[in-house]
Amino acid sequence: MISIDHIEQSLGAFKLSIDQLRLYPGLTLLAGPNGAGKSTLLKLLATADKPRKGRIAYQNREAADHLPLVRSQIGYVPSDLELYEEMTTQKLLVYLAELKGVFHTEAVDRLIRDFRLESYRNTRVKRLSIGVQRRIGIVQALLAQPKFLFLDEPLNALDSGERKLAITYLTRYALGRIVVAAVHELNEWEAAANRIVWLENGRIRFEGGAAEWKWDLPSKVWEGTVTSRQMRHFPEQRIIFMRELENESLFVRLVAENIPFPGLEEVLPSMEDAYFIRKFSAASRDG
Amino acid sequence: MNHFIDKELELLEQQLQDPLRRAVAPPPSPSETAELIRRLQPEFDALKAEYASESLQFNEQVEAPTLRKLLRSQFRLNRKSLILSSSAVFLMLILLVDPYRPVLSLGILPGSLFPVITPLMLIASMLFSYRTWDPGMRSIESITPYPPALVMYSRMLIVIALIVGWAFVSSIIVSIRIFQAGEFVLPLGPFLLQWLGITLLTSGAAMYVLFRKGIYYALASALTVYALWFIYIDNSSSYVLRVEYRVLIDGLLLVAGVLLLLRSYYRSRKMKFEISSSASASADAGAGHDIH
Repeated sequence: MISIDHIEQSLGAFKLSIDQLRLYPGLTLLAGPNGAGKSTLLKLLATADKPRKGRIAYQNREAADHLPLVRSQIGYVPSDLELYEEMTTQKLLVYLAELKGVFHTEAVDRLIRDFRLESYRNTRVKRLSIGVQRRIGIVQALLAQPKFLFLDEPLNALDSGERKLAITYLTRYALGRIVVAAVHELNEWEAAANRIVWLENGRIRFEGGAAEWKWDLPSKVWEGTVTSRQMRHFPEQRIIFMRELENESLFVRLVAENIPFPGLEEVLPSMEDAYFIRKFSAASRDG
Repeated sequence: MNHFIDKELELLEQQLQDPLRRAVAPPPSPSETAELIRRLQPEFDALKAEYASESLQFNEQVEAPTLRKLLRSQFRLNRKSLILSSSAVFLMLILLVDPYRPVLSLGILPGSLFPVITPLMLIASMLFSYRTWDPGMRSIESITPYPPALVMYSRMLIVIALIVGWAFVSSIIVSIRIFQAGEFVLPLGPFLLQWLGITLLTSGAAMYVLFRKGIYYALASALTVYALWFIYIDNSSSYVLRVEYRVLIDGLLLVAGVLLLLRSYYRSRKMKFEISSSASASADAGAGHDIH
């Protein structure tokens, strides 16, 4: 378990402030808009930065007191990663493996295979597509088989096949390990996520199980066909999506406490819907 | 007969009552599911915590960092670009020295292009190797069992070693060419000291400041040292200093540079966090604080 207690970190006008957070084995998603503090929190968790106040303990070991030991168990994928372009995939990974104290190439070979990078093994990084470079970015974090893995928008620039590969691998990897990923698109992690932490303006707005995230909502999701006239006065903030059909009718997915129009059906919310509802509800509450 | 059918129907009704009630019962509502999950959550958390303590035990045996291993990996990382760029510059240095008129073309000592170009080359290489534009990669390199600054120290040391090494090779070649020309005998010792002193002082100053104030201050201090040295050279050329004094001054610069590099090494072992490019922390990392 990772215990975070009373941490504070300031970056200019932005302030991250978390009273208490516990991270358990499994895949935890960090959700929130840009500038919410997701990257800052990940940096602190990855020990790339030190909190101005508070403590972070990994299995009851405080990072500040056991830094080399803790770091030997951490893998980190920052969002702003530019790999060494002149090196080949193989050489870069061997170099980074050695930096992590891994002096055999089995781990590199296995991960190259798992992430389907065999054909790029001897290609210089600068000749690889952004998606492949991003995959290498994920692989480097896994070289030492860390018990704590932190990924900042790991699926950025990946195509659909690469995204599926990464999600499947990370879901399997999270068994018995703590994996935390900052993400923007929640739905694709639907089957994988164990817990959700929702950050906004540097504070935690929700922290709990993935099921709880979807079920314990202040509003419901409704779907069906309505006329454009019916939708004319419906608040725009409550529309999840809307598609025009023939005869001036619309297919809509809406958020409302009670059925907004006859004929609509209540549907199960997706993770993204839940985010939408929670965000809308928080905004209404905050005035 | 009718009575019999009635009884049978009644019995059938009784038998089907329970299964039918179950079949037509509405599914749990979202709020009921939420309530169920909420009630079960402490059990889930307890199970997870129990599992966590079993599966996340630390392996206490973290391999101790050695500078040798780091130097080797840093050499592999930078060898091509550094060898190519430094060899090109030093080839140019060799070609610029006219072995038949070394004093005329080079000033006080033959090859005084060396102390002018070598520190500049070193400063440029240090800046390039630090990769100021890539905080992500520096983060990754700092999250290792090694002290993060030691990784940077070893990289800079490789840069310094390569530049100094190539300058040394060039010096030998220049001295041989001058000797073969037969016009002048190059005083190799003072010549080496002349460029080695300022180069090591520049790099030592940069490294000393790097682990206290960050890369930009480090480069500024290296350039300041270089500029001061230039002013000194410019002024000292107006009067004739005995070669012994020059050698003594260059020797002092070299010793100061080596001392600064050593201080930086001990400093880099103590630092826990990466030095940011705009670090502004005070110089108290040795006392247990870290530079961000």
